[in-house]
Amino acid sequence: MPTRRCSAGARAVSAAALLTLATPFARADMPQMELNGNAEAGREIAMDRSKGNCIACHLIVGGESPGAIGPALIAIQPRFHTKEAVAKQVWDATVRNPEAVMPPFGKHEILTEQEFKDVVEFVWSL
Amino acid sequence: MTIRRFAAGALTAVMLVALPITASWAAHRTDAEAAIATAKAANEKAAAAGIDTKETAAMIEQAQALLPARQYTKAIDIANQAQKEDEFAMSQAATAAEGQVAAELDREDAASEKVKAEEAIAAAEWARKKAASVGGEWRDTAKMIKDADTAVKTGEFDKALELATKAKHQGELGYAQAMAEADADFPSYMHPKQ
Amino acid sequence: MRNTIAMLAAAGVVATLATPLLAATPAEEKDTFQTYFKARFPDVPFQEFANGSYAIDPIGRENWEAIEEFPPYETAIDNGHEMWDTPFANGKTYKDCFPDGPGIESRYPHWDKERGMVVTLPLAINECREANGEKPLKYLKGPIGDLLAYMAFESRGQVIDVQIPDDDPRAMEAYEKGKQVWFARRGQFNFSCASCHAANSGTTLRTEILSPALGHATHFPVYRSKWGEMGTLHRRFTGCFKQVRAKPYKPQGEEYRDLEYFLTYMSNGLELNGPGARK
Repeated sequence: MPTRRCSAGARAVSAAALLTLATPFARADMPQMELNGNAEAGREIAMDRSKGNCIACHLIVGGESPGAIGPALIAIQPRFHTKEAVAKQVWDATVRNPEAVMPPFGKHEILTEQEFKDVVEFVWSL
Repeated sequence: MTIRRFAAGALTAVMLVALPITASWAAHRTDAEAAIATAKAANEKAAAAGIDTKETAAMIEQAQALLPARQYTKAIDIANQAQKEDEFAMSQAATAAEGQVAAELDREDAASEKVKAEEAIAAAEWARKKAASVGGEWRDTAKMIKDADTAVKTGEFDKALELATKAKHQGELGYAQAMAEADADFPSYMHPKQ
Repeated sequence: MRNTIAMLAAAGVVATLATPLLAATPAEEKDTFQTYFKARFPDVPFQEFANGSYAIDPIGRENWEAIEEFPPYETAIDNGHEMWDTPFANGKTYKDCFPDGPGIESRYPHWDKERGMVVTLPLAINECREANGEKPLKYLKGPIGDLLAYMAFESRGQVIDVQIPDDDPRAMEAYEKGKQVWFARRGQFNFSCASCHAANSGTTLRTEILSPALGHATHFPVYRSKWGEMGTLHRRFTGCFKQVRAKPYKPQGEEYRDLEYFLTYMSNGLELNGPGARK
């Protein structure tokens, strides 16, 4: 997959996708929150099968037996540019890509709000 | 007029003036009556509050009886003592009464917390059924509702409310998901490449 | 300029998603399905898809071939054979329900026009039992796995050829419903069957290789090491649903029968090779 450049185009794509997939359910949009989680706690969540289990699909440096379904979680900041962008992706990846396989960890309340913030902080640090 | 007669007159005059001014150390009948009146009022209040006032009432009577004998200071002392005892008893009773009211309020709060939790559980069950009706029920929803029910039974209303709210969200999300997926079909990546 | 193109491309993707494969017949859809997997795994001979991840995982295959020398489903086949031969309380046997013998797996699932429903082999087995005064067997595990193992073994080599009759639109409806179940996202994890078994077939979920959907219907019932016993196709459906945190449908209920109808149709042309052994 070609590297995405942060651009108005990318944002417009998200908007288009959002409109098409607009559900009446209000939680589709990520609520306002302070992204001030704890990265170490986030690492635990990322490796925990019963929580984020990010390692199941993503290579994470330091993680054991990673899956290879999603892209490796490295060079996150140059790829996502803002912590908020990372948060939105973890909240609901189908906004950016309607065919994304990644579960909507925020929207579907797979993680608690604190766990969500922690994992975002962790991913942002990768 | 002799000096003696003048001195005696002056002395009397001085005493007539000085004595009343400097006689505050000596209780007056009015002071005693005032003290007894205040003690009586406190006594009545205490009695009205359901306090046993026999002893203090007796003390007030005793003070009263001292008036004809002009033992005003002693009368005031006794009246004051009775008043103090009655007021203390009243303050004790007030705290207890407050405690009772507080306990009542707590019970009312708890009752309303319980109602809140039960309503949340009902809402969650409705949401679960709605999701189930379109084949979109999630795995854990029913168990969450069951756990919320158990929490109500053990008085853990906060926990019950939290679980029920989560379960309700699951029902809502499951329903929305099933509706959005109603036309699910071959995705773009499986289409033959042109 | 690039932004506009990106936008249009994305809009195109989204639009294509929104519209189903226009006016495609089930036969065309089956071709699309099979072509997709052949393209994804160009080195896998067609019939090898019946072996699931062992067709694409060399190490797993080695272990599997070793296991197949003393297959863990052999006892099940023997038990199933005994069940087949043992008369019911009323003296009749399974042969009275299935006069052509146990090797009839390729006749299922099929559309039953009279009853207006998809009939699967496990369903037919229980209907046979009940017609003869016997209690029905549980659909996920237990003795039904044994009987199915025997019948699957006796049916090995038969080519899957599920029909969707033209003269009953309800059959088409059942196929469409099954297709929708397969492609619909579900559960808290928002996965569809396609998420793992199409889009990510051949990739690893932790260390497990996800098997391609082509060939899924050929080798049930399956002895799964994880289960330590035989299990049916609907048991596997149930497990998958739970894994994506969806509440499973009823075993042999309408949804799973329709799903089996679609899924088996997609494997038309492959030979049956049950019972199977899996990790």
